[in-house]
Amino acid sequence: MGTEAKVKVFGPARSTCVARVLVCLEEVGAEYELVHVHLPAGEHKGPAHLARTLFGQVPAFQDGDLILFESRAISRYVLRKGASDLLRENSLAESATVDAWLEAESHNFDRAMSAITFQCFVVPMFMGGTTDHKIVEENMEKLKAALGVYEERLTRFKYLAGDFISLADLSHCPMAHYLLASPCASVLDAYPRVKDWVDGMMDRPSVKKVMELMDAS
Amino acid sequence: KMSSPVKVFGHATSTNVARVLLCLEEVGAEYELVPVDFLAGEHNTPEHPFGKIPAFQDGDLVLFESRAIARYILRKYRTPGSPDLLGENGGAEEAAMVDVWTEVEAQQYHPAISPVVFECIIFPVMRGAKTDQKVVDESLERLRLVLGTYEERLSKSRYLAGDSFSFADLNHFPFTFYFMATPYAALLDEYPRVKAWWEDLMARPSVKRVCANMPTKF
Repeated sequence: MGTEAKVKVFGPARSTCVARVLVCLEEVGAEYELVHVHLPAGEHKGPAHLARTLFGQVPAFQDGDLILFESRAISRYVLRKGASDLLRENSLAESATVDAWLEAESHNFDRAMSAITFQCFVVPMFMGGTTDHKIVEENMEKLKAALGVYEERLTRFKYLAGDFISLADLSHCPMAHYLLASPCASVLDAYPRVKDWVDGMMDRPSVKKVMELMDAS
Repeated sequence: KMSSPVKVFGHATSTNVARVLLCLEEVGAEYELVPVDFLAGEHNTPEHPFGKIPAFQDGDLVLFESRAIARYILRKYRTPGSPDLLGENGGAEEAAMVDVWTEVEAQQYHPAISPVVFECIIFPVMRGAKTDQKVVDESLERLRLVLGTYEERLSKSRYLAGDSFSFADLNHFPFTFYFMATPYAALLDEYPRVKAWWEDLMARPSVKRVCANMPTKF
């Protein structure tokens, strides 16, 4: 990627934001080193990690002297450096459409899924608490609203931004992996095109590799 | 440049519409603001799959999501004289720093500041609702942490993404503008570099033009 040293990704692979970046690195075939950051021990709030990210979140990313954070910003950088077509930056109209659906993923799908996975996984497994089912239900309704929009979109196009796969689609994969593994997976049955779209992406070699890293993390 | 003006669907007072108008003003592109009648359900038009504003049209291209629309405008309508707000001509690293701080606005700053604006202005004005002080107080606590980090950042960097003003800075305008119309505006005084950065932003001609259509009294 322009330097001889491998790029570094800081964070646990099981974080969906870390996994998002890993999918992009796998897609461009870049060599990288995954440096584990132990969240339960609060390592992400320790001085070394804060020096990288200011907000103490994961992932952080390093390419030589350049240090980045925020997974979607890192993803764009990785894809550009790797000369990937997943951003469609040779076309003003296509790249804008990719941007629009990537924003939609962030504000609608990811927001609802984050709340659901936090309640269903993090709270009982890492915080010793009980799932707040009211929050889960509220966010399931938001998720279904988003899936309904996707279903309509995917009747007209193969992928979200058009008939080409893009970062807007792949950005969904880490959360989709957890959705499929959760008791809520059957929500997809009412959205057959969405289900096919998800299954298709999960079959990509890059995504499979990252899902293995997520599960092993 | 297209011969016909681009269309923005929404109202000038909307934060996310203002984000788009700001970028149009920065590059000096001609545009037409098309009001959307929420009561008539007009916002549920094909222009926006999630039924929100703004939506945007440039010839055959229809877009949604204000940050995506804004990027498109800055790329397509940028002239040699206007600043490289996306940092894309500066190389991958400069563009990446703009992307980082654009994401920070969306993922850190916005979730902390927007509930204050919703509770103090938007909900009372649009729904006649009472301010939920608990939400406001929790958000202000969160905002303090974010502003502290911004203060540190701005001690090392003239603007958020680096030495040049960028899209990342611009994105903070809409919600901060309305925040300054809430009773909590003085919070910014506790973060002098942030305050100076904000005043610099407010002095931009493009910002002044967009502000002219945004109320400060409710």
